[in-house]
Amino acid sequence: MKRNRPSLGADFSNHVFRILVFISAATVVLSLVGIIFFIVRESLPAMQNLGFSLFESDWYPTHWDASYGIGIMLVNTILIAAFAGGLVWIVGMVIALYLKEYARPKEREGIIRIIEYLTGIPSVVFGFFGIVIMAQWLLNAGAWTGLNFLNASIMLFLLTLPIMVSLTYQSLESVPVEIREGAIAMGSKPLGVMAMSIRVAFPGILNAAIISFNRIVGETMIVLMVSGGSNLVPQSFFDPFRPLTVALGSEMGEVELRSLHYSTLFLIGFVLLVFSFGLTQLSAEIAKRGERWLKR
Amino acid sequence: MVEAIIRNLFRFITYLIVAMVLFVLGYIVAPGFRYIFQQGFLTEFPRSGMTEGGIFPALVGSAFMVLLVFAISVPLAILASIFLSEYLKGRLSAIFQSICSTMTAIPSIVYGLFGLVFYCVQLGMGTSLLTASLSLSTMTIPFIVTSTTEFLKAVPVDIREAAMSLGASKFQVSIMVIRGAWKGMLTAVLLGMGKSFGETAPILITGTVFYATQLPRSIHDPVMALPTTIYAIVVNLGERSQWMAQGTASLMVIFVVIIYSAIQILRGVRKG
Repeated sequence: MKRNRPSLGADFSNHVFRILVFISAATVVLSLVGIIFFIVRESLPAMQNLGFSLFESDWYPTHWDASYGIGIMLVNTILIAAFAGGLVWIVGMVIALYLKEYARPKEREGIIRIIEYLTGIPSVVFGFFGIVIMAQWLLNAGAWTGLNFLNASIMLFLLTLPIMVSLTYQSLESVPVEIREGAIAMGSKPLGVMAMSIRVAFPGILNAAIISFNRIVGETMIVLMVSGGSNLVPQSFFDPFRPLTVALGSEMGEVELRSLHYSTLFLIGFVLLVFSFGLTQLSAEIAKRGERWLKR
Repeated sequence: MVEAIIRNLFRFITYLIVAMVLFVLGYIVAPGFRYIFQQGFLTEFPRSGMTEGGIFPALVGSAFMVLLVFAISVPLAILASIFLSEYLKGRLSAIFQSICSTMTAIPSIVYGLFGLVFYCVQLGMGTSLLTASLSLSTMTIPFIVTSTTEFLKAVPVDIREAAMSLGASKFQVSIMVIRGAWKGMLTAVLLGMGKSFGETAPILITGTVFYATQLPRSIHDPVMALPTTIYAIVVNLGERSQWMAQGTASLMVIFVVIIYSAIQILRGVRKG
């Protein structure tokens, strides 16, 4: 009997362990609270000073008559995320469908492995490729500058492709076999079955698109290196542009502490934070609805 | 007929993209490959405005940084994920999980901003190795928690029940669960370390310098790191320094390929 009861030592270690795991979990929660608190606190002066003039188009933070309008950068961020995100969505879906519907098992394994290596490539390395190699090609192809919207789109496409393919593939994989078999039994051709599984997996596929969109909005190094950096709305694929994160990456190192410029940069950080919270919430909502939709 | 066209179109696009991926990887690794083995590239300081010498300080800086991030984030992340999978139930568990996935989605530059204002200014650590490592850890912890928890939850309930019926304490049960999930947890940790090794934006604004003539003497000194070195050379320096960026990029991709191969081997082991 005595052996079955936890000894004093075991009881003690149990207790210490409980405290340790609790503290670790509390650290995670506190760091989220801290991130929100400090980003908001540092951006308050800019919020009060600028108000809605924040969304104007002139960004001259170091001019004697400084103006801090992030309007154009915001538009650029949305443009690049919509274009590169749309591109990666379509291509990612095609690859995932090919892997699911047509590829032989060995072939599938190989392709997934190759694309997975891409996941680990640091974004600065893509930026390096964009500047050193892709820009040269674009110049040779007749673009007036190598660092432009198209270059950034291609690099962001490569960055987000692996996550897009793997998430889309997973959601196609999770389509119940009964649904596919049911469609076949009703006389659907292979294309009909494919359309059916796309429809069932659609919440998951939409989620994958939102996650890649979010990645592109927040990505700093690639656009910092290959966007060209001019504060204009691009009129063609070969124009340089400047999304929000470029201002953070290029100006944060040189800004005077607690100045209005500094605070405005934090406000940009706050805008990015709001974007990411909103998109995460949206994707959680879609996942929840999707589950309900499948059960019905 | 239409079906055949679609199939071949999909196959064509897939192979086109795979070829593009291999081409890009090859084009990053190949031109810089020979510089890695050049005399002194891995063991010397950069000289004459980074046109000669090597990337020794950046290599050391990155190594220190990854080690510190490992030491800070792995214990915390593993304990937090045990709390999530073994101690929390129902609603609270779902809330904690959604906090972690929300944090995983926050852009890395925002972690840099947080690191700058909290660790660097508020806690007075300045621009240093410690600030950079703490900022990276803040980002890596929720990432590791999210993926580790999946593996912990996949451990069959039977193991927990069996252990409990033998009179094991919660602590002992947790050890059993960790034993059952260690391969998955190792992949999660490797992924997290790979991520923080390549992350550039947060350390760019919290703890790195572009050029150092000596190694950091303590964790309160700023350091050079591999990713920021690539950025600095490509953006700021002239033609004669570019080879160093090529060598560094090539080296980083080789590291990444090694890490991901290890992960794929680990996964294979789990299947078999």
